[in-house]
Amino acid sequence: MTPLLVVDDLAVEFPMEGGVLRAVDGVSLEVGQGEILGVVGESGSGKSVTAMSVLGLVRPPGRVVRGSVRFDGEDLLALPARRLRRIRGRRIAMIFQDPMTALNPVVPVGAQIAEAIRLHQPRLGRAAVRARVLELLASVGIADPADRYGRHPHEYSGGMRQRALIAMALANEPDLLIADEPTTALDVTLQSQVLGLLDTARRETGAAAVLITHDLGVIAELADRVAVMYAGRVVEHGEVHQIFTTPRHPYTRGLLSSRPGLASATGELVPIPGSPPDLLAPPPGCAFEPRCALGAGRAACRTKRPEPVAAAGGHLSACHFPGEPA
Amino acid sequence: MTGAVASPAARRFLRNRMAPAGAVFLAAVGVLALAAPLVAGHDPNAVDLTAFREPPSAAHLLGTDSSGRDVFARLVHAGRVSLLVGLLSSLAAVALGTLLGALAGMFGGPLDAVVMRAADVVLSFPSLVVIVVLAGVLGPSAAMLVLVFAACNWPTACRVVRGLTLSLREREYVQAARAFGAGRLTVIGRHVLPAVLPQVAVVGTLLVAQMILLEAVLSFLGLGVRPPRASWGNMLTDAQNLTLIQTMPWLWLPPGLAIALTVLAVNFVGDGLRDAVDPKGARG
Amino acid sequence: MSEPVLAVEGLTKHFPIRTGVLRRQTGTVRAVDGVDLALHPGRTLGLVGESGCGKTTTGRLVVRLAEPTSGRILYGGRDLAPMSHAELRPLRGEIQIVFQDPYASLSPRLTVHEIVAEPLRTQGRYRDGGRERVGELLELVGLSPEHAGRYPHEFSGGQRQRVGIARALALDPRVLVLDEPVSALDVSIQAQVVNQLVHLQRELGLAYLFISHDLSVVRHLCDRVAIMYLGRIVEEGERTEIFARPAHPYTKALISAAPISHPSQRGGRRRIVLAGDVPSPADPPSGCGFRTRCWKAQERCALEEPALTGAGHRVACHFPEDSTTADPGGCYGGKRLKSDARRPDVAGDDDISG
Repeated sequence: MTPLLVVDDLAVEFPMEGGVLRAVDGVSLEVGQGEILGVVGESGSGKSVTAMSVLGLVRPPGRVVRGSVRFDGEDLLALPARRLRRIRGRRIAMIFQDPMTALNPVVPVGAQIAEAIRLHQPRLGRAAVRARVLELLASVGIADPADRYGRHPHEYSGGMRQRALIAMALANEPDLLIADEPTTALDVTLQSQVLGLLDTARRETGAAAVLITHDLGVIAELADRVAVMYAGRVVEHGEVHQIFTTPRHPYTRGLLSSRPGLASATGELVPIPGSPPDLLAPPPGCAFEPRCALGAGRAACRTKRPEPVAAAGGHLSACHFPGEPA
Repeated sequence: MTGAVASPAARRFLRNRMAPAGAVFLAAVGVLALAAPLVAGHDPNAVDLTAFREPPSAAHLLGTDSSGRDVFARLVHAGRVSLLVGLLSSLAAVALGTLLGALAGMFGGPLDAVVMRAADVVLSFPSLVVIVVLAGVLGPSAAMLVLVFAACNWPTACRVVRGLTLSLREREYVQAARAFGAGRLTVIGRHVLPAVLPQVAVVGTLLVAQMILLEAVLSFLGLGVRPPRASWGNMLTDAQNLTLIQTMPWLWLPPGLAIALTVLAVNFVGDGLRDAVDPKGARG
Repeated sequence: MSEPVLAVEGLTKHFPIRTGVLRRQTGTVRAVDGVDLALHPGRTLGLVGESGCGKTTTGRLVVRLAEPTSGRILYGGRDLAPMSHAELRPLRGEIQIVFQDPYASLSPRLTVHEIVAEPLRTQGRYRDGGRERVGELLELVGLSPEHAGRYPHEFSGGQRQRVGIARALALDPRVLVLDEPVSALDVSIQAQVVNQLVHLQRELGLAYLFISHDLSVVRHLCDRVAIMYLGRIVEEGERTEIFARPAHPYTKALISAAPISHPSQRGGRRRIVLAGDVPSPADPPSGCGFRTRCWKAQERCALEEPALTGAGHRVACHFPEDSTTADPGGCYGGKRLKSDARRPDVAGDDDISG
């Protein structure tokens, strides 16, 4: 089966005052039908920019300088803007981090969802659209949808807004959902609601999803496969159990050990020393080398950029010494 | 300000083409005004009744006026008065406004209410009328102009600074200062004033242009700087006569151009500063 | 247990709601509504709750950045609550705060040296050995004193947070309020700062009030935990007690909602999904604040406000979970109210993995 989405060797640059910032540097990803790919990374790792380029939404002066994004066989980057717009929202939908800024504050929520439907299904009658919106609102767990239909975003609580946004994203039964930190702005109890909702949506509509997050808990909860990003590159890519049980890249291992687990014993945390590199002047070799216990001083790490290498079960890692204990 | 912080701002200022040009022009005007006694060549108040309203010549670069005084000499000396009145009144207005705004924003409560109502009252007065009346009562002079201008124009800076102070007050670094015992005045001195300075500079610069213009208007009407002391405004008095306007442009064109170009240059610099200080808002 | 270094009793903060041109008071937001807490030297009390529950306001009240409406803040045998700013000034240094946002909490116009020196200058202690003291403080939080001349924007988020901690330590505090100190940091950096906080506490015997919404960090760092909901403490006890045997339904829901740490735990625990939203603190429900979302609520909960009772492990609930049968399957105990919305959706089938 061909994957639904194939990102190949994508590179995105932003011209800055101090030089050119390469936010995404040769990222390759695949998302199969009905699969959830978790993209995990810290701020500046390029995970959001990758998602934006899939939708052709990289804000100028940023631009895609290399690579391709194939969705269901079509290269999205080569598509004319009109065709891309038709795919966006209909076949690929986006859920943003901040539900407040993603909704228009002066338009009732119901009308905004209705508009999303009408934009892609112009022949649907008013009553049919309304019925569909009510159904969607109910399906994301919004009580009394008929009353909520005409209300404005500020009359919704934070959790309800995020649910309404999910309803809007699901409105046209997309094949692919891209969720950028969908739970980060929410409280713990709402986070689990929203994750549950995404899981249900996936099961019921068979939509695939790209789930972008910095939170390993979200990944552990929902993802089928995981791409770990660091400094604009995918450093490890594998099935979710592989990533959590037998991480091969020292950065992934560092992330896992620096996180206090709810269930784990409370020993000392093992942080990753230092901070991420300046992307305006990245290290010549492996971007993680300055923080890596494995790399420390080895010539290969300092001079040569590691390319992704596959281990058993398609488990990729971009490290010169993968799996070697630190 | 630090070099590292200032340099992008400086770059934004320079990217705005008109702002550096304005700054260069103002610098030239400033130098001419400062060096007026050296460059004038003539006593600006020396009356030469044998040579009045003479067109430009080698002896009188810009000709002579109705009393036979050298127009160029008067022009550069008038620049001193006009620029000084503009700068001082703007400075006084901004200083007063900044102080009141910071106090109102920091202390809130009754002080805030009183200051802001006072600002509303001052803003709702037709300031030109007030100035004309005050000029009549206090007698026209450059010092009077500075005082009256400052009294009428502090609210702009006051409002800007109050708004900024309100948001700064909630900033965590200000909260931290309060938590280790810094009083409100200390916070104003150490955190508020340095933070509002860039915005205040923008307001102040744009105010300078308004003040120069206002000074010219009042002096033209005889309510500001009085002859024989030259100001760009009172030099224009000659232009009240239609025949003179048509036949003797050297009488009014130099001060007219001086006013127009200086005000324009100041505004360009102000806009450039605004771009530099607030790269997002300016263009919208 | 040792004497508390700081204790809070009945702490309350009400914000007036003013409307109309006349700014007449038309209501009250009960942001903090009768909170009792005790902080002990060398120990950490976690204050946990969701946004709007009043935990941040509580922190600000403890360092007197906000004026309490009523209640007492007992420190060194004195009540700080009614003190004027002038009276408070000499005591300020002893109760300090670290903020969440490492960007907003440092002035962009001051060098790191100036930022850390600011408390010393303010309290007139800079003159004797201030320069050396700043160097010591930076070393204490793991920063190189050579970097003191730099500006905050030259540092990463984690380093900035260390500068914030150094500033809070400048006046030798005994109590540190930590308001979500790692929430804004990247995961790999969070651990650095958490470890730093643990070291500092051991070295300096500080009492921490650790305010957070992140249960896994709280569990890692805190000795005791207090759970806050709608301006009140609903449960308080030793960390192990709270996590192993949560007695309040809200605590239970909160713990069940916390993210898992390994995909193998999927479906391995009951997720209690709370119905509806947190009520407005301007118009709290009668009786128990949590009853509108509680699956155990009965008539009594609407009539009578539950008091925080118990020794050691305190809980404010009329029908607390029985510690011997800690089975959320039994959470339908008691008469169910007619509204279906009160029933939690329970997913998964095993017990809460504690």
